[in-house]
Amino acid sequence: MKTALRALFAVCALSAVTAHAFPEMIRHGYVNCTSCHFSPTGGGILTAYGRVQAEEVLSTWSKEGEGGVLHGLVGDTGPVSFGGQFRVLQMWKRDASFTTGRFIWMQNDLEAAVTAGPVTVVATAGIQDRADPFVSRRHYALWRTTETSPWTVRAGRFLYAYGINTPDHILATKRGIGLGEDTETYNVEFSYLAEHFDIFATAVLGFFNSGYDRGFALRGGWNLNDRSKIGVSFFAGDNGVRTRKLYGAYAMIGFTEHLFLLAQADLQNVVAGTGLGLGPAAYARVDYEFLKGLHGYASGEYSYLGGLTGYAAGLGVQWFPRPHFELRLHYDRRDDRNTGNVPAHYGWLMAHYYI
Amino acid sequence: MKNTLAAAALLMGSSLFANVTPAQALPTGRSMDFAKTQANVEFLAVGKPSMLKIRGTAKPEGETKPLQGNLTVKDGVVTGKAILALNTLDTGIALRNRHMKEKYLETEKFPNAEFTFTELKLPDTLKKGEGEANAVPFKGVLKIHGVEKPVAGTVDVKLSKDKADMGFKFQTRIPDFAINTPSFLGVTVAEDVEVTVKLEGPLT
Repeated sequence: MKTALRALFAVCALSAVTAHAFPEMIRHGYVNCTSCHFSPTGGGILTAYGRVQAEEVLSTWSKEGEGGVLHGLVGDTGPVSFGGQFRVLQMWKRDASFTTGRFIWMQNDLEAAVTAGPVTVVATAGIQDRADPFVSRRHYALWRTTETSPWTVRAGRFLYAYGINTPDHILATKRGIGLGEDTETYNVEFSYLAEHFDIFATAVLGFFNSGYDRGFALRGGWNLNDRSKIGVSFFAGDNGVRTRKLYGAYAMIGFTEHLFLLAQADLQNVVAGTGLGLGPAAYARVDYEFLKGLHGYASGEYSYLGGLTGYAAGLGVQWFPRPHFELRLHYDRRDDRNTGNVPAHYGWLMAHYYI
Repeated sequence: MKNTLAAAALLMGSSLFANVTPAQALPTGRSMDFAKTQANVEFLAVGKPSMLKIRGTAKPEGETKPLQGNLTVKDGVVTGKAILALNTLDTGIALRNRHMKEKYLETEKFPNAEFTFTELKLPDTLKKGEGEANAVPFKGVLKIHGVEKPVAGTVDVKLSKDKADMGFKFQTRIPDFAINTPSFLGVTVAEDVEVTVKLEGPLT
């Protein structure tokens, strides 16, 4: 069993992260994602506005135009936008029996968006270290009646809206509840962004293979003020292996422009299939930006899913030195499915570049 | 950023509060000199479609305080005029500040926002010069970008023997002041801007 769990750990670690979103931008008044991302739920290809924010808000150093495609070498491309995400990770784990480390190419994705009137089509194309090396994790069409319309309809393959869209895919509130890497499904999503609240309703249609969720999801958020939001999420569906319901609550609180909290708590109720029963998953991260672009944080997780208890308590440093670049060093004391359900010291150094 | 600009415009509106009234007309009243108060002038604008919140705050530049002017309280009536230096507005993002000031507020040409009280009558409970009242309506004229417009809002007032604490709040609209709707790379600022001004200082 232990061997099987370790194998599972290795496979999971090899999997690519999905989109890269920055919910922590809420501390600057970005209560929704669509200023900077084409996707209503954030992550993935940046809008022109988002590229400027990478210069102005996110990075320690920058010069005007550096946030543009290929550091500004590519000028205005009209209705076509380009992007791409590349990430590598050096992982390290030590438990009572083994010390392991490995270098992982996590993500090699190119992405483009084409806008024609009220419709925008977004697609990624990437390669991965698997039997089927080619992958398109996201491809969808967006429809918004006017540029400032609060309504958006989206159809295609993407990760349905549930909780906080953080790129940390190994979390109990992500992988733990079936929303980790490579869980994008075909969906039809309706979203409404108002001044004080937002609502996402998604019909989750699954994917070609078995094992992907089908059902429906709801997420609603309420802006407490101009830099804090709380919300609730719900999902009901099955993936061919188990039928379940998820109930969640989340908070993104910007105490100041430099100090913020991300927190999410979910309750999974598996009513048929494997992992029967009721179990919680929770995650919290407190982050402080010491100087522009340089963050230190503490995080914690707890879960009791499928009869297994998991926890993690960690510290990390995240740095955005210039537009296009991100470095992150993280350490956890962890005992969950990511460590094969054995107590372990778990750490990684991640480098991320977007074009 | 444009949003920010819009927000800045709003702030200007907020600068309105204050002061005013020719001192010689109210010789027996009590006055508040804004330069001697703890003043906080802010505007809040919204950028669509993402509902981005743009908060601008007037910040001192060296020894210079953003808000100048004064108000006088006499027989329960508040008069006065406030002047806000628009270049002191800060939205937290340098490029947004620049767009706001250069492209929309045109602060080189119109460096100040001015507010003159036209109607603020304190309730009877405050006529003795001490006490507290919330959401007291007021009216005034706001001048931004060379355009004057009447505005109305509410103020929370707390008076003591030698001190006043006032919190003004009103809404204004960017197009009313001949300012183009701020827009930047797909983010467009909503027309309505909320302005708040908090004053705390000696009333002598």
